[in-house]
Amino acid sequence: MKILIIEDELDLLQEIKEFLEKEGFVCETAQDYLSADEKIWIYHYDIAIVDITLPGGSGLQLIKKLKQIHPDTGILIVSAKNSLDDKLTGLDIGADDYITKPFHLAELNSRIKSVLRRRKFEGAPEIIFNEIIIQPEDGSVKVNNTNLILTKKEYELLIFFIANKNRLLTKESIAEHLWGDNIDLADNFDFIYTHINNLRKKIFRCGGNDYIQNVYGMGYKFTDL
Amino acid sequence: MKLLNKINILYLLFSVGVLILLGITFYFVLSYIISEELDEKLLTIQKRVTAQIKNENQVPVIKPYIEVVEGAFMKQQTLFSDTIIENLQEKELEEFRQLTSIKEINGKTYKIITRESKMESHELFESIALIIFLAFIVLVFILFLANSRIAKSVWFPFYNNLKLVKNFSLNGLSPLRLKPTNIKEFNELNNVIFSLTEKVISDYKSVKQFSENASHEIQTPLTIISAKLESLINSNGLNTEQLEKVKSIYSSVHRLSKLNKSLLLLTKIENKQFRDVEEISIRKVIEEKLIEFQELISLGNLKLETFLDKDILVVISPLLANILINNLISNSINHNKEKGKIKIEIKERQLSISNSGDTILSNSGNIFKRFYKENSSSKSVGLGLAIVKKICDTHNIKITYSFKENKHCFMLDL
Repeated sequence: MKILIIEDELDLLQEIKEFLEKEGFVCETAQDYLSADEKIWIYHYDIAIVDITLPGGSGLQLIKKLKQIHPDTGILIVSAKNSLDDKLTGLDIGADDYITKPFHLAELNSRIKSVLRRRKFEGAPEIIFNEIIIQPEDGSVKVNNTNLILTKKEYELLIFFIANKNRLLTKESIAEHLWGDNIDLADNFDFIYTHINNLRKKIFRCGGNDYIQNVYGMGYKFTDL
Repeated sequence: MKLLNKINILYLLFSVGVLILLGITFYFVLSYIISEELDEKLLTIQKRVTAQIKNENQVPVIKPYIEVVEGAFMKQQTLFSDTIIENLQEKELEEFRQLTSIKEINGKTYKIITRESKMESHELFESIALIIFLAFIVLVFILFLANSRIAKSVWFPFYNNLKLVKNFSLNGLSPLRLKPTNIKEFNELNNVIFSLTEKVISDYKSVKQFSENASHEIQTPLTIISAKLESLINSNGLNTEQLEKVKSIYSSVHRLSKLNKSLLLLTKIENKQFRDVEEISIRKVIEEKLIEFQELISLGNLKLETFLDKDILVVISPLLANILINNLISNSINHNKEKGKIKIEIKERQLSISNSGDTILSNSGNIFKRFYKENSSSKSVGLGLAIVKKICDTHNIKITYSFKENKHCFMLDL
């Protein structure tokens, strides 16, 4: 899978690149409008991560071009502006998703995977992790071929975990993934614990393994045993 | 006191003062003139009587006006005096002015007394005083009317401009250009107000711009910090002590970024950047939010009571409607007590959201202030209700907080 990261902040660019390379993606980078434009013309990418504010031009313009040249490339907008207008225009001209700074890398990863699933595995977007099989189309989950009944939040949690397996997910990033950032619950992460415990128990009851580890009270890790 | 009233009252007081002073002066001058006149008249009569005695050797007597007594008087003299004599016709006491003079005529000494009634001069005095007094009153009254008319028309531009200044609002974003007048001072004032409001508006704009830009610019470094920290957490080289530190940095950065997002949101609401308004069903928003919060409510063992038979339609940006209801409900969950209640009710145009609580807030007036926290140990950012208030203010929604029967209640008149 080839990803083009267009971001003008070098530090952030490198961090995203490093992170995604660990996830097994091949990454290329562009720091301004012109070099990004060039790369779009020459190469083909599966996913493009586009910052809207770029030196030399607007990310929105790049998205329009990208849509013309390679309509099958998945596009994820990254923006410091949390404005609905930008979001709507971005999605209107063909972006697949929109993420606002500051974001968690795990969140970015999960969004990339979900875009990839929608674009690349049309018809058979199964998520398989050992004995766990998820059908994102209808939201059904099977463990050892037994149907698992999960609440909406538990389901979202499981997808988030599998997208970021072997990686420590902080409580903050889990809370934001599940509840968005409007919710002001900074002083109470107990509800995450409850959700995770319920998910653990449900998988365990169907004969699945306990993959979720608590790490130093910081967060949780979904690891292949 | 109104300026015009003040002017009128001062004017009246001044006029009355002048009137009294003039009256007193006038009284003395007039009575002096009249008594001088009387004395002269008496002197003339006395001269005529003297002449008559001298030329015709005849002694005229008209009581009580002229009396002549012949006798041996010591020395010649002339003396004016006041006296009271009974009027023979009317049998009344009457005031007279009399001139007593002793004269030697044709070798004989006569005492000639001439008298004149003061009644007439009194009457004259009174009528003159009355005429002048009336003339004064009329003059003062006319001047007063004219003065207040003039004051009104002169101050008219002032009152007009005052009205404009009162209606001045920073959101209008145009400096106050007041109507020019033909009075120099007013025009100067207008110019001062114009440049002052221009300055205020440009400062206000740049402050707004600054806070928005600052919040935006902070987002990117925050993303970098939190991304680096996440990768640090995921690298295996850290010992427990180092991880503890990284963890505390990470949660602080997280708090900071939440704070920044909330401030940015507040600025945007203030700057009225949410223009995509539609007619929103409040009931629908509440129902959606309750599904989202369902698990949190059951986690806190809270009992939810809803009375949503009616609906309220509000023209508002969907995002703001969402945030408004979101913050109110999450507030009622966060500040509830164990096994407490949440009650959400729609009545006519009124939405009330209440939750159980044990004690009344010590500073309920501050509840909507930025960064106000009833409990300082709370880790919440303290902007949720400030955002609610700001949304209400910009949409003319009245919001009130009350504590009744162990319930914290927020009422919105939508």
